[in-house]
Amino acid sequence: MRSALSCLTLLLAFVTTGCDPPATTTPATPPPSNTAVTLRPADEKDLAALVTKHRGQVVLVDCWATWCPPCMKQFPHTVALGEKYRPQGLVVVSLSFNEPDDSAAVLAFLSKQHATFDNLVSRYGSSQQSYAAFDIQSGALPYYILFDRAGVRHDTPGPGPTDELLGPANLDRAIEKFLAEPATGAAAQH
Amino acid sequence: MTRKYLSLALVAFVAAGCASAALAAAKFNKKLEVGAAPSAWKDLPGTDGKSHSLADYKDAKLLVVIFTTNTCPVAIAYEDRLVALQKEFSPKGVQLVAINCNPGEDNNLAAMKERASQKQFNFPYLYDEAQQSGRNYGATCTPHVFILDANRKVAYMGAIDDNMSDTKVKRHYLSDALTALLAGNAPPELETRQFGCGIHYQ
Repeated sequence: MRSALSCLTLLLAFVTTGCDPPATTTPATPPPSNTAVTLRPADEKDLAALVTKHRGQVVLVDCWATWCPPCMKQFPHTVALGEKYRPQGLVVVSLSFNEPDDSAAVLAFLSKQHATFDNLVSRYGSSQQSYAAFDIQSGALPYYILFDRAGVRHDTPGPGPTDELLGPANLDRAIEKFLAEPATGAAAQH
Repeated sequence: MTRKYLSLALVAFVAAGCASAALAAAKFNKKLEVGAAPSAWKDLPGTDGKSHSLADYKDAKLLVVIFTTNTCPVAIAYEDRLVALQKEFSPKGVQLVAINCNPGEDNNLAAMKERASQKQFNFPYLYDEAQQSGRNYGATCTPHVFILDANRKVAYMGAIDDNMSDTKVKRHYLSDALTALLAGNAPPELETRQFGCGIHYQ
C-alpha cells in the first residue's frame, strides 16, 4: 500500500512538474475556448470505442437532433454539465440523429453552443436504425445515456419519457451519483 | 391410460404454445403486449366536433390507433403518409384514428382543428387531455401506432415505417402488417421500435 502511494505521489509529481509549460495544478485542463468544434460520423462500434477510451471516467452521451426543439433547448445544459463536472471526471459526447446532409446545420448549432467535446452524427441518420443501433428504448429524443466509471451503461430517462425524467435535475443527480462511485473492478484494469 | 396422459400433455403443450404466440413479450413497450386488449377509450373530443369512443368503430375490421401530435417534426413528417394509408385501406375495412395526448396550447383542440383542416386529415383526430389512452397503450412517442384486430387486440405495434424521410423508407411496417392481416395472415413483424418525439406525460 505504502509503495502504491509512493508511486502515486511520484506520478503526480511528474504530471505536475514534468509538463511544459510547467506547474499547473488543475486536475483536468479545460480545452481552450477557441478549440474547433468538430463532427464525425459514428456507428455503435465507434461509440463503444469512445466509451472504452474513457473507461474510469463517467461518460454522458446526449442523443439529439436539430429537428428536435426540446433537444436544442436542453443542449446548453449538457455543455454546462461538461464544464461543471469535468474536473471530477465527466466526459460529454454528443450524438446527433440527423441525416448526413444536415451536417452543416448540426455543426453550426454545435459551434454556437461551444460544444468542444466529441460530437458524433449517427451513420444511420434519422432513420429507425439509429434508434436500434444505439438502443434508444423510448424511441424518443432527447435521450441521455450515462456510462459509469466501470463502463456500465445506464439510460436516462427511465421507462417512459416525462418532463421530470427529461429534466436537467434528474440528469445532474445521476451524474453526481456515478461520479461519486470509485473506479473499481473492470475500470481499474483499464 | 398412458395414451390419455400423452394426449393431455399434447393439448397442454399446444395451448401453451398458442398462448405464448398470442401474447408475445413486448420488446419496446413496457405496458402492452401484442395479443393484449388495451382499455377502451371513451368520449374523447374530436376535431370534427363530435365525441368518440372505441366502441363507435365496431364495424372496422382493423383499427389503427396512432398517437401523434401537432408539434413534433417526426409526427408531422408522417401526416401525409397517414392520409395516404387511410385512403388506400379504407375500402378494405381499415379505420385510422389519431389521438393527441400532448399538453400545451400548441396541442389543444383548437390547434388540432387547425392542423387537421390544414392537412386535410381523412381520419378522426382526437384530443386526450387526461392522457389516459396514451398511458394505457404504453405510448412513448409520436408517432406510435397500434393495429387492433377484430377483437380489438393488438396485432401490431411500433413504427409506421423505418424512416421519417419518406424518400428513404425501405420497410413499410404498418402497410405490410395491414395487408397481411387483411389476407388472414400474421404481420411480418408483430412489433417494431417506435421512434419520434417523447409524449410529455404530466
